[in-house]
Amino acid sequence: MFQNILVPISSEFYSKDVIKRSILLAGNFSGTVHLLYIIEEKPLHEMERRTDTHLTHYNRTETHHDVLNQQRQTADDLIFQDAQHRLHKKNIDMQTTIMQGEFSDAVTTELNNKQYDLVIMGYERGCMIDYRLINELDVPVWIEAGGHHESILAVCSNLAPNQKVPELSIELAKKLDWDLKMIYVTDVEDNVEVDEQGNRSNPKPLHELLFSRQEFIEHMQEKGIAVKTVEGSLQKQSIKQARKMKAGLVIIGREQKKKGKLGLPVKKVKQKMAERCKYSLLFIN
Amino acid sequence: MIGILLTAAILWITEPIPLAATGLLIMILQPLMGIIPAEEIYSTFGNQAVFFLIGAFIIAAAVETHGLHRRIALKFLKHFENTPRKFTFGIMLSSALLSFIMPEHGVAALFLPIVTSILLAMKIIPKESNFGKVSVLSIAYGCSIGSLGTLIGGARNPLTIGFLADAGITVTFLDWMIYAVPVVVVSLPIVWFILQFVFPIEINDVTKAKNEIEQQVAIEGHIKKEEIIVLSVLVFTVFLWIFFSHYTYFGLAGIALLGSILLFLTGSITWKDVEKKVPWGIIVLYGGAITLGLGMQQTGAGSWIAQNLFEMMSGNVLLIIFSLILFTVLLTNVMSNTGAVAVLLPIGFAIANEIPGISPLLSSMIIALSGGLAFIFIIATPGNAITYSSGYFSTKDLFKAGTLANFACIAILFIIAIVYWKGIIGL
Repeated sequence: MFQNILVPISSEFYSKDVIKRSILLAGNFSGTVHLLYIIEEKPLHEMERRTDTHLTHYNRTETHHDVLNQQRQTADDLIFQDAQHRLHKKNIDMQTTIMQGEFSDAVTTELNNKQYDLVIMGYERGCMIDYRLINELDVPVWIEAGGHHESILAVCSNLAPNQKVPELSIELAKKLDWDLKMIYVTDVEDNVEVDEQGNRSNPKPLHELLFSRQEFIEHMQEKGIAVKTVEGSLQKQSIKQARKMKAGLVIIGREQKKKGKLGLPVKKVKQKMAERCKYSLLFIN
Repeated sequence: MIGILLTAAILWITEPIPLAATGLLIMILQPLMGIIPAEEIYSTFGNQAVFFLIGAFIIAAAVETHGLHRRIALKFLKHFENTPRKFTFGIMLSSALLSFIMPEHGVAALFLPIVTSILLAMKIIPKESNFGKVSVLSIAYGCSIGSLGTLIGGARNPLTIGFLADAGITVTFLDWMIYAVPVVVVSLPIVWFILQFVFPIEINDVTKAKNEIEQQVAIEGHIKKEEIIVLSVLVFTVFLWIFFSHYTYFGLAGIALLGSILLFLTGSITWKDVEKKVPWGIIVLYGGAITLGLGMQQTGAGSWIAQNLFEMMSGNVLLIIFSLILFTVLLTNVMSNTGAVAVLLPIGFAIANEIPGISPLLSSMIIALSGGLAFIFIIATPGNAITYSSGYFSTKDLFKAGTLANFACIAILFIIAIVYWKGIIGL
């Protein structure tokens, strides 16, 4: 399932939990880990812009080089070495690359160059990383938040095809030997249904949404999975249920939520969830 | 004129064009709009403080060219390698002291590679370690606080004395130090303590830092002849600034330029070095800033703003002093320090004329020193942006520590303004 794991680490944010999680998964799936260290250009550009009047071009170039050297050394001497040490103990193969650019662009470039099954990364608000890749990538994106709970919360809803999430959750729970709990959120803010191709239907009355939900529950019961039903906002309910059951991982599928409170348009739903959720998230894109 | 002031403020905040270009825009807008004749506007550029800045920058360029600043920085740091806390205080103190004799942004750019190489040797992981955060933030805050101490640290200081000189008030190099050094002496340990409080240091051993500093000192080798010459000229110039800058026929600029010429004569610096290391943009920014002040004064725009402020605050001197500090600190956190001081100096000056109990010198010192206290955002000062690029602290960290540091410094400056400047010195 997750043989080729890409671990992008930004110069803006590094979390050891991400390395630990990639080791756990690579160990369970006999996979390899590819560490991609991205030297973010935005802070460097910001630094150059802020100093253009105060430092000469020569001084700015010198400082730019100093920072780049320090970032490369940080990657080589600290982050890669530390990961190498941990992975070597578990006999896991590791590859490393240093790239300069913008986080989402760098990850996309790497994914275009090589086939990966999973991207594992951290999430930090107080920095200059653009996390738009969460919405853009086709491969699953695991956002590691640390924590030690060994349980999975699979989130299904009227806003997703609900094909990959149940399948992958069951397989992952079995492989990792974690508890699995599944919820079905009927999102009352955006009352549409999403088909297998990810297309949104026209708005539907609540009873039709509940009928589809019942169909899904019965389908899951056949597989021996109990589904808890909740109604409300997809984001809020997912986070609330994750907190209630102390989930180690929340799995979310190809949700196509476009409307929020009072039917107002919403954007970057997954990014916002990553910002607010204290538990690890796996977006099956 | 108020329109030009607002335009300048908006451009200095949003920076769609370089800060220096806004300086030029201010200069051309005033004659174009018929506010002040062109000849008068451009003649303000001939201010003594402009040439003081040029001379000081040339001397700083010589210091940089021969790596004397690096040697001084390492010598300082060597005295603080016993414990992690002392080490971070050493970084802060060294950055501050070096900002007494060099522009603060240059000091930040110098200290960053020194400190990060030490952190790398200590295997300190960026953003994860509080020691890393405190070390790098100590550079940013040390430079900002140190730049208040003398006329060289930040361009806003010569801007202030230039402004005061136009009004017939002379402030010598020594006078400035007498007014400003106590602020540095009090603020530095308090801000350092705040950093320790916000980010408690998690390590105990600094042996690796010690080894790295020793290694870097060894790489520097023995002091070279050129470094001795530059150091001698620097000491000589500072000596003249302190003791002779009040002579009319000598002055701050004369001494700065004399120091620069001595460096050229001894072959310690070439024009190529000057081209490489002197940030002419600041001189242009300065030019624009001083003409803004002139326009505000001559048109009475400054008085108009001051009068409104005076009415709002019912002439309460303490409240006005506190508001001046608070407003300058807020403004300097969202725009260029020099820009903030340039915008507020004419208003502060007018306040002094309107309100008994506040002298032009007092209001100018309040604005000039508050203008250096930009701790909260990356955009606040180049020193913050330079150190942020290392990746050792986040914007959240800067905000957390910076807000507390700013509150503390506002209180310190307020007390010093009331007790020391107004009460003891009688500004």
